[in-house]
Amino acid sequence: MMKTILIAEDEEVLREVFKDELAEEGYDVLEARNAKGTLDCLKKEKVDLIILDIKLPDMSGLKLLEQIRKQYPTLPIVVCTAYDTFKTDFEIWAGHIADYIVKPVDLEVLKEKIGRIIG
Amino acid sequence: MKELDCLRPLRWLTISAFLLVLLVFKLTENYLNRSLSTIWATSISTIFSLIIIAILLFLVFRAIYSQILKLTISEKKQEEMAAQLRRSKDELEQKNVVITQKINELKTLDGIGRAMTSTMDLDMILKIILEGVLKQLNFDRAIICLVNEKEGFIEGRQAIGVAQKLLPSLRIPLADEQNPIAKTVRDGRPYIIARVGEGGMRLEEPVFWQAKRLGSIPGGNKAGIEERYASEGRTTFSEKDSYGEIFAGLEGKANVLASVPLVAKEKVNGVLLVDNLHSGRPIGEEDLRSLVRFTIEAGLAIENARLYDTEKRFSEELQRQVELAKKELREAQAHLIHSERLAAIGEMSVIVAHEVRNPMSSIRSCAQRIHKAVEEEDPKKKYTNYIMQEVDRLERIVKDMLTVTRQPKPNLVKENVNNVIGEILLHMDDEIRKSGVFLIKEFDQNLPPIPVDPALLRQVILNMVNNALFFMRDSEKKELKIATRQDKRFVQIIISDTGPGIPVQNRRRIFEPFFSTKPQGTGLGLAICQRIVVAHEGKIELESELGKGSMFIVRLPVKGPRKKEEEEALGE
Repeated sequence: MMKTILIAEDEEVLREVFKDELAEEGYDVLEARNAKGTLDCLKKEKVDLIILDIKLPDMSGLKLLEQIRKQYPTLPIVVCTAYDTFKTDFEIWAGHIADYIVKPVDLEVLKEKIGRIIG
Repeated sequence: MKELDCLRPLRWLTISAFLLVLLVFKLTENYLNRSLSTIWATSISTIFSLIIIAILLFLVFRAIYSQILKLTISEKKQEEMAAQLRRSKDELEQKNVVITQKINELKTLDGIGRAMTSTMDLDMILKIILEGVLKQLNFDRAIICLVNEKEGFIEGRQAIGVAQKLLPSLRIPLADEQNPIAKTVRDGRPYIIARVGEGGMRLEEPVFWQAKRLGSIPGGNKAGIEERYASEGRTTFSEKDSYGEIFAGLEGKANVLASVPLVAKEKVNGVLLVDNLHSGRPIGEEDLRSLVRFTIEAGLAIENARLYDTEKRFSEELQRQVELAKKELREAQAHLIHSERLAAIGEMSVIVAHEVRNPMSSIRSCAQRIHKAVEEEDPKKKYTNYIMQEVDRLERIVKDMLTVTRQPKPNLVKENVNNVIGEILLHMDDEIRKSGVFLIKEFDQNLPPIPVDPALLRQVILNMVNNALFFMRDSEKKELKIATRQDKRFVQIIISDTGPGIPVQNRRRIFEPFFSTKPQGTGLGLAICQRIVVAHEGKIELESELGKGSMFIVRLPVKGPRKKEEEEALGE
């Protein structure tokens, strides 16, 4: 059965590239460009993994993370961030997310991480 | 015959007397001729005249006799007077000698006084005093001891006639009741040490001093005073004293040692000790009087020099502290400017980094996808590779920029620095070999493990080694030396190259962010190194010689960053 990945990312180009790459890998890919869209999508669809940009335009990353975690406690979250201090800054979240990746993203690394979680 | 000049009028008196007698004779004869016979008249007149002559002769001789008598008496007187004069002359001459001596003494004292005030150097003044004492006041040896109030001692400072090496042994507690030198200081009085013998010595206060002190000499009774100063008590230089050797030769000699306080502003600053060890000449009242006179000026000169010395040292210390404070202020200011600049850069970097990383990520991912699609043999594959490499380079710059502005927080573990360096060199082995650089390792095998963040330290060493390799690329001699050493407080990592060296004007700047002489450098490498080492409370030192090479010395504290420990302690 095909796994569904939700890409929550406000950068359009990046979202598209991720989508193409992951679709090629055989994943069913959904997209959201803001927090609202993300939460809507999660409500409607069954998602196996979410790639979450921590800085979406309409809600603070932490707040969104908290909300998703509350509503979908088992959903694997891969945080995608431009902050390379994420690891130390968001240490408190270490046990609550599946993994994180720092931009600029190496697609191979991304795929490897996803594969490890839901492959 | 000047003495008989006084008889000259007698001649005329005699002649006139005879003429008078002749006249009287004639007048008498004429008068008697009228009433008596010629014979009677002549006889009577003759007798009368003779009587007058006799009277006159008597008077003349008496006058002559009295004159002669007078003459004899004056001669005697003259002799007496001459003797008197001779005596006076002798006395005068003696007094003259004494006065000349006194004048000379005063002149010398004045000269010494002037010499003393001409310099503020204490040792110089002491030397002038000692020389003056020996030459002008004729003592064999002289020692100056100064009071060390802080430690409560009186200490031998300078001497003539006493071996210099013996002086330090002359250190007497001020409170020593029995010691004549300490007693001189305490009493502020000069003493003649009347006798040095078995079991101690006897002190005597000079008569003139005691007279002065007591206000008057009671009935000129010198004996009374002598009795009193003899009762000043017995006191000792015992054989056990460390300085016993200095006074050893005085045993059995009487009145050859004197101790005079050096006073200024009613405070005793020291003691002048004089003796006649060799000549054995007893020191008399007059010697003591001169000595005391002399010490009045000497005491003042010493006090002045001491004050000046203290003042000078105080002002020097003040100056030093001011300079230090100024330097610290300058450093703090520079540090503040540096920190402010970094903070500003930091704020901006975070924003820029975030904004830049998104498009960078897009570019990289797109390129990656194209790269994958292009056939392996296609020459275009080279270009997609370039795009990805350049994005990676951009990312490194962004990362460095963020690092340099952040205060690194070392994650400390106890690690042997040799191991960290060894690891890096293993990784870089290929690169080093390819660049034709000869690597010399001089590791101190006894290095203790110290608290460091190995990842951060790796970054520092990697950066420095990379710099060394880069700058030696055109050097004739390519030698990279990595050594470790340790001293009490620091472990040192020394990385030296045989590159072109760093010009003086750049030596400070190389640690500034964005300063680079590498064509493609970001100028952040050494700035980051600096911050990492500083975060470990260490420091980086640079030695460089143009045309010869550069040497970086990284010093890391053996005990690790102190602040961190304190913070942890506080946290606990």
